[in-house]
Parts: sequence; C-alpha cells; structure tokens
Amino acid sequence: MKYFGLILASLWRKPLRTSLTAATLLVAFLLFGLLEPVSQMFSDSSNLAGESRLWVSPRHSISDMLPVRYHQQIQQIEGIDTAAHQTWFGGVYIDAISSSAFTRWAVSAEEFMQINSQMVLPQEQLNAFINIPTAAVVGRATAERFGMKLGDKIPLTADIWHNEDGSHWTFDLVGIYDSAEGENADTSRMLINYDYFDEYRIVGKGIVSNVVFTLDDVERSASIATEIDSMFSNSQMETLTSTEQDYLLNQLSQVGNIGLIVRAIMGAVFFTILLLTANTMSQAVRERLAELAVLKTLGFQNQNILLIVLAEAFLLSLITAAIGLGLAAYLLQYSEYIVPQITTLNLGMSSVMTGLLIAVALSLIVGLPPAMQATRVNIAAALQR
Amino acid sequence: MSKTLIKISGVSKQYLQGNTPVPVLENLNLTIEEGDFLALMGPSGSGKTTLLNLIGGLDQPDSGTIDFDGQCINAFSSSLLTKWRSQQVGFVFQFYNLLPILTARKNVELPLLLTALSGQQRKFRADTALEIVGLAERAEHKPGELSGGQQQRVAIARAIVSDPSLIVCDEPTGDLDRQSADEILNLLQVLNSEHGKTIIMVTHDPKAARYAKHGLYMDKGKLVSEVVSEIVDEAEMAEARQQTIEEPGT
Repeated sequence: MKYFGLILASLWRKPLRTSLTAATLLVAFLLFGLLEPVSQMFSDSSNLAGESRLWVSPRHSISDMLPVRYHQQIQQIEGIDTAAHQTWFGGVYIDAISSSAFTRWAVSAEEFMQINSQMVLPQEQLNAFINIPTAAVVGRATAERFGMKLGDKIPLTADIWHNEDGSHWTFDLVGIYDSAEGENADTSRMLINYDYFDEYRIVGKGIVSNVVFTLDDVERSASIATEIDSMFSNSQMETLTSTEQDYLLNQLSQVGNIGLIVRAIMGAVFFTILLLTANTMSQAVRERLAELAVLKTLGFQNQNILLIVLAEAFLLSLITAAIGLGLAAYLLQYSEYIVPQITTLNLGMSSVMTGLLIAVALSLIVGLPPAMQATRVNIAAALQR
Repeated sequence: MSKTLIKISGVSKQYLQGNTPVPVLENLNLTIEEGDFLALMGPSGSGKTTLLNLIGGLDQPDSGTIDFDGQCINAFSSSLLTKWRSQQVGFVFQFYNLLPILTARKNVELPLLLTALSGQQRKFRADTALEIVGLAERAEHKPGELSGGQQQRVAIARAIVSDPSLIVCDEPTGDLDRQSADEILNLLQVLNSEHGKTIIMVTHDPKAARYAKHGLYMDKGKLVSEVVSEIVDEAEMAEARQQTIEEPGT
C-alpha cells in the first residue's frame, strides 16, 4: 500500500495517454460484458423446471415441419392445459422492407389466443377471428405503422405457400391486439386462421411449424417435455421440446455457431487491445528508465521495481474492467427492449469472474515484459542519459 | 584520530567501446576518513564519475576491493548491495534526478518507502529533511514548480532523509548559477561539519572544490595529486584568462 501513491502518480504521468488507453480497455471490457451473456446463452441450455409454456419443434432443422396430428396427441397428454399450433406463413406485404416489419403466422386461433393471454383482443374481435375463415388480426404496432383498420383487406403475396389462385392471398382484418405486458412489448405479429390457410395451400397440407402448450402443473414441465420427445422418437419427425427462448436460440444457431462467432469477435477485440496496450506500456516504461534507475539508486530492489510497473498495469486493467463490466451489467437491463423474446440476458457472476481473470491475464501479458525491462536497467548507464 | 570509512585497494575498471576495452580506472588506491569532505577534480573522461559510482555501489570494479567501514562492498550480492546503498549512501546528481510526478515531500520520502516506518513517520522525517535544506514551505510543490537551486536542495534532502553516513555528489552545482551553487555548497559544508556526513563530490568547478576539506586530482584513470590550493588557484586563473579572451571588451 505504501507504493500506491507512487504507482498512481506514475500511471497519471501522461493523463491523455492513460485516459486513451483506459478508454480502449473500457470499451473492450464493455463489449465483453455485453457479448459474454450472448455467448453463454448459446452454449447453455436452460432448465425446463418451472416453465409454464413450452414449445415443441422439429428436432433437427428449422426447415422441417411437424404433422398437425402431433397437436392433438400432445393435447391429450395428462398435465397439459392447452396446446396450440402455429405455422410460418411468410409472404410479402407491399414490399420486402414493409414485410420485414412484422411476421405472419397461421395459427389454431382459439387455442393460440388462449395460450398467449398477453395478447389482448376485445371479445367480439376474438370471436370474429375464430369464426371467420379469412380473418386476420395484427398487433397495435403494425396496425399503426401501416394505417390498418378493422374491415381492411390485407393482401399478401406468397413466397412459400401458394394457393390455387397462384400467390395472392387476401385476409380480412377483424382484430387489433394490444399487449398486457406494457408498451414495450412486441405487438408486431399478424395472425391468420390455420384451417383456411391449410385448406387452400396447394402443397404441405397437414403440417405445422411447431406446437406450443401450457401446463396444469409447472413442476412437471421437465417430465412432460421428456414424455413428448419420447413419444415422437423414431417417428417420421422427431421433436425437441424446449422453452420459447431455447426454441428461438435453436433457430438462430442453425444459421451458424453463434456462440463461436461471438467468442471469435471477443478474441479479436482483446488481441487488438493487447497489442495496443502492450505497446503503450513498453513506451511508458522506456520513457522513464532514468527514473527507474534513480529508484534503484535509492535502494529499490528489482522486485520492488517489478511490482511497481506490474501494479500500474494491474490497476489500469482492473479499474477499466470493473467499470466496463459494471456498465455492461447496467445496459443489459435494457436488453429485453431490444430482443423482447429473450429476457434472460444478464451478466452472471461467472462472466464477471471471467472478465476479471482476463483483466489479470492482460495485465500480466502487457505488464511483465516492460517490468522485466525495468529491472534490467543498468543504473550507471541510465543515469548518464 | 579519524576512522577510515572507505578504503579502495588496487581498483581497476574498463568499459567496452564496441569490442575494444577502454581502461577507465587503473590500479587505484585511496583511503577516505570518516567525516571528510573530498572534492574529486579532473578533466572529462578522467574516471571521476566511475570512481564515484564504485564508491556509491552503483557499479562494480573489474578488480581490486572497496571496503566501507571494514566491509568489502564489491563482494556483496546485487540485492545486498542495493540494501546497503539505501542505508549508507545518499546521492546528489548534477540534474537533480527528482521524479517530476511527485511533490518535493514525496520525492524526499522515496528512500523511506523501503523502511518499516509508518506514513506519518515518513512524512515527519521528510519534512525535517526539507527543513534542514530550507525548503519546508515548498513541500507540496512539484519539481517543475521549483528553481534549479531549490530542486537540488530537495535532492539533498532526499539524500539525507534516511540518515546515511556517506553522501556522494556528482557535479552538484554543474547546472546552477553561482549564487545557487554557493548556497548548495554551503549546505553541503553544514552537513559535513555539523551533521558529520562524509561527502565525496565530483566537480569541474575550482570554486566548488574550495568548499571541500580535501581535493584530489584525477587524470586518465589515476589519482595524480592532492589538490592543493595552488592547483585550485591555477585552475581559477586559467578560467579567468579564458573569460578575458572570450569577452575582450569587459
């Protein structure tokens, strides 16, 4: 501790240089703090226990589909409250840019709205959605964005599911839903009736993208998931029962190894930071070899000099790591507003420990070479410079 | 009868210039008494600073021995020599060699960081040393805020703060004007006469040498003669002549 003042003063010798180096490190640790939970999310599978709503999807590929009869079979399993199914419709609304603003799904209307109780729809609109084959509902965000109102005809051009008329589908807007989860919740989706869609599509009849169900007893979620997957093992389409989040991550993972990509980005960032910081530290030590020689003249041992130079690297690295990780933890609170389906992005203790370990390793790698150089200073030669 | 503090016997030292060895000190013998104030004079390259570095334990001789208070310091390990230096020797350099990032007090405190003293004790001792050199009121100033003479006084305070028995000074007035130089030399004289410090001072300046009790003249790595007052006078006359040639109108 008695060297602390000396270490701090040495570190603050060139405030601009130290500030810039600290800013570089801080950004690196901030990035680490934001990306590490993403990487963790892709490498960890979540615990099903306590989940009230689970998804059943094709086990091997997002391009596979489940037979619609799975829906009925799942509904009959003891302990399941309600099961619904949904099928990706896709299609184009006006143009590609407008289409990308919201997703379009064909669903089993009654059960789907029952399961997704957060989607609030007036009763008469719900009745219309269930009873009118060509009915569609959209979320408030999409309705406002495109000026849609009840009674409007919504034309969609099919890109996967063509009908007997070719690629043109038209739906009647009978409902606009809000979300019970507040203003920031996602209200972009458009829903259409599966029965009508299935009757008129010319290929792929009787298949769905996935089945979603709720449970009577959340304590049984893990055992029911296992039961469902066992039921359909060795069938024409094996299933994977998971949480909604795992389902989404599984879909993303099929694009590529996202976890690996994220780690590669972090690795590249830290390698660059390592080179920059190592260069700065070496330069800083080179500039004050004469001062270090004075300290040795006054009786500072080589290990004292080593400690002082290393401590500078440690201090800089650990302070910036703490601030960067703290900032990341703060910003991650808002991740649910960016990716509403994923609400578990937070900086766990293991990520914090990993970050601090990286900070220590970084200090050693960038601090040790100049510290060793400092201990090798020839006093007489350095003082004559 | 004075006690021998430093005994140098048959010391030689050479440096390599490329692959060519250049002798700096040759078979040098010297005895310095405790409480002496010795001025080492001689032309550049005569080996004065090398001798000072050897006495101060900053460098090692190629051959011969250097005894300090009966102990052969060139037999010490590097670590022991460093420890010995921190306890026995104070250093004063031509360009002060203060740490610009620290205040005068913190600079003076530096050698005490190696002791077991508490922060408060270190501060007290540093303030006392600054008071001895007449700079107590500038304790919170950084070197850049002090004049050359004041910086050298801070360096002297740093040299005496751990109460060493020997102070080695390498051209302590070389970077100062006459008035500041005289103040520094007076201070060294006080440290020698009143505090009993043994001082060895390398200098080119004959006026500075006059403050010492003894003087030695070195040339080409050898001690040529005791600097008697005539040699100093001659050096001063030569300096005066040189000034007359350079400034004929004055």
